[in-house]
Amino acid sequence: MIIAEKKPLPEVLGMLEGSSEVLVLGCRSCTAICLVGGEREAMETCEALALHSEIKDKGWKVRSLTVERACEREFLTPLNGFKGTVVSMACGVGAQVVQEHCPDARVVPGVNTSNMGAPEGTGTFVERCAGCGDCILHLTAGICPIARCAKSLLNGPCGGSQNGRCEVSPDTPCAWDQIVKALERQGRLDLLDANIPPRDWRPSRNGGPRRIVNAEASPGDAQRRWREGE
Amino acid sequence: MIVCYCCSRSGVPAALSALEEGGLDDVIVREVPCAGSVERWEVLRSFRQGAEGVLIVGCLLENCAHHYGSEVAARRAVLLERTVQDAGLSKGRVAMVHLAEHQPLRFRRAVEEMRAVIGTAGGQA
Repeated sequence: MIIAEKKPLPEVLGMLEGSSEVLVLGCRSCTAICLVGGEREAMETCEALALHSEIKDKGWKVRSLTVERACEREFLTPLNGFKGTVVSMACGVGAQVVQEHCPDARVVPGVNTSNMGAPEGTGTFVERCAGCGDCILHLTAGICPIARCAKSLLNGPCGGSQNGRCEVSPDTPCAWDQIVKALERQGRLDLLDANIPPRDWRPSRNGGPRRIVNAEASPGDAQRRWREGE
Repeated sequence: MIVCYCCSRSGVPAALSALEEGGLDDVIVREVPCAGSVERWEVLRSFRQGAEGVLIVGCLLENCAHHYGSEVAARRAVLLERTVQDAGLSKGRVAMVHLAEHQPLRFRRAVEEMRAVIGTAGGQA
């Protein structure tokens, strides 16, 4: 899932200058799971903004709304025609889709979108995937060296791996130490005999925003014509 | 006005005993099943409804019937204190109180400390 962190309240308050109607938009998907942008957090931000407005006499009309997924427009119909300020508690994807859905509104981020990760115990989330576009998990025992090695080494570990920890931080496990141990456990150490060649970064971020088309679901000419009522 | 979110097992009995002795007319007791169940937005709304200070009253640490509810509440109180300050109120408006049901004096002392904080800053300033 997408991991995010809450923005400090003063930063959000600074974005709201000149606003009159403020909608705090929560999302029940990723940011709700990582405890920063769900219904509870949206209500908390809403109350904090309303309290600030009352204390500082800003006159903001603040309310909160939480949708199933802010990144899909079919869930955004309650926002149709909204022209005020939206404080998005969804990830950066959701915030942009909300802005596209409400072109006359001012969408401001209530969270900092960080990475694609997974929970590591309650309340702790760790990056697991860098979205590089060319997955090699079959070669690395299901542990991603791109996201989990500080140097994104394809053939590791490096000299900075000490007692299974990364030199970057003693709190960070060395991804390649984990990979070697996992391959040993699985009886597949032979995979380490072959060097993984330098990767092709073109499917990654190098070509601008990536577009993935599902050949079955994406409408063809006939379907498009029918949808457009021709 | 001081709003006290009191755990039904420890905070409520302690608060009721303290209230019986009088002198706590500015205190509103809100019963909750566990101090850890108090939502952050609820506390913030209390301020919007006129509270000058909020106490979250839960069990002694390691004596919580829900194992770690009181501990969660204490961490939440720290975060809330920061949020309330960021929203524009003065320091010390949210406090966590750990007590047992037979400790009304500790409850009263916490209320008096909160009164002092409010008195120094003055109302909802």
